[in-house]
Amino acid sequence: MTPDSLGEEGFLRQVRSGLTIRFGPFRICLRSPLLEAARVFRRLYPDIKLEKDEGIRDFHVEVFPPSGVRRWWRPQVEFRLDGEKPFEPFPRDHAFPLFEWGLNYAIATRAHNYCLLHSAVLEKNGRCLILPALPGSGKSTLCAALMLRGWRLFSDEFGILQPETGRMLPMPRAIPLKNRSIEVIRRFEPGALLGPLFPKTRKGDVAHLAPSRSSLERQGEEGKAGWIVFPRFVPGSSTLVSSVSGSEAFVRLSNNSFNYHLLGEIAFRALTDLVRESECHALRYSDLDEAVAMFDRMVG
Amino acid sequence: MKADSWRIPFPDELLLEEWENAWMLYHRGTGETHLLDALTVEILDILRSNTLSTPTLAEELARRCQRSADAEWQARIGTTLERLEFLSLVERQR
Repeated sequence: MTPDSLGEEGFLRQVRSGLTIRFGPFRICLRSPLLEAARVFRRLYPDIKLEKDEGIRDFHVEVFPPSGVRRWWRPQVEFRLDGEKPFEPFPRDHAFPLFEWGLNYAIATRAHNYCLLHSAVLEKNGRCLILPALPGSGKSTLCAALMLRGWRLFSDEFGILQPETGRMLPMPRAIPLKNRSIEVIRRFEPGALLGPLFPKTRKGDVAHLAPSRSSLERQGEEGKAGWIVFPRFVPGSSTLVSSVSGSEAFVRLSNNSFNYHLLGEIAFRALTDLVRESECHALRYSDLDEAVAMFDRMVG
Repeated sequence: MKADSWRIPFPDELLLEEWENAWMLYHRGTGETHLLDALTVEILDILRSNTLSTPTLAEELARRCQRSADAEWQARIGTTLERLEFLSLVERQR
């Protein structure tokens, strides 16, 4: 059963009563009476498999209008995680971005059985490309472009490293494109499946790119690290790759992790192994097509 | 006046990983990770199994590095030891 196969009415009913979905290693129960947010979800995840409403759910997520008279003159929406409200309410028409960001918050603050890198991760030929998120990296745009050219999306936001096995775990979800990136990706791939534009959110204008169907279908398949590439978008620059030392890659990755300090020695060992088994590079780029071609050459 | 001596109170708390041009050290005692250079790693290596004064340690390091233990060298080792003390990696004994 998928959102598509349920039909719009059936899906909206299901979301209202509680929907169980799997994103990579996490099972999530989502409940919302907000039709517009559910419609956006269905548009971006038409083929995600819906699971039975039983067993353990890692996160119980609710996206609800707050109670009180305020909702009549200034419609708002709030995110509840296992019954708690970690954020101030958002404008009601930002319900879907709030769901996505709220779920990121849930994972970043609670999933400490994994070493969580703030990175995009994609896979090709069984090996993973890790793109750490640093200011000015253009990580989401690059990630979107690679997925649209056939790379399997693991995640735009989380490098989920399983410390016991050293394997990367996929968690393909919609990619939030911001501001100019939206138009860049529209031009890059006119057939890309994008959700509606959410103007003036707390992160600027946002539109979500749907994860590829194959990424969702294969979200149970883990991957081995292959490359760690620190991208930097520099307007007007040519595509330039340089190698990064292991110690520098380690420092940059550990500083970029959501829970390195919390995991301590486990993370130290896991990141050491991850860097040792990866080729580490820095990439300076301005042309998306060139950057994608460079990554394809790198894979061989 | 007797010079201060230095030691590593719990050597097993130091996990060292060597890279091509540097060392990463995880300190179980504080949960902190440090990026170290070769000289600092030599100091820790010696103090893992010895308690030594600054001059004695400087002499041993000078021998390993094949240079003289002059005043500048002694001062450099002293400064490095104080940094390591600040990071709780070594302990001073007066």
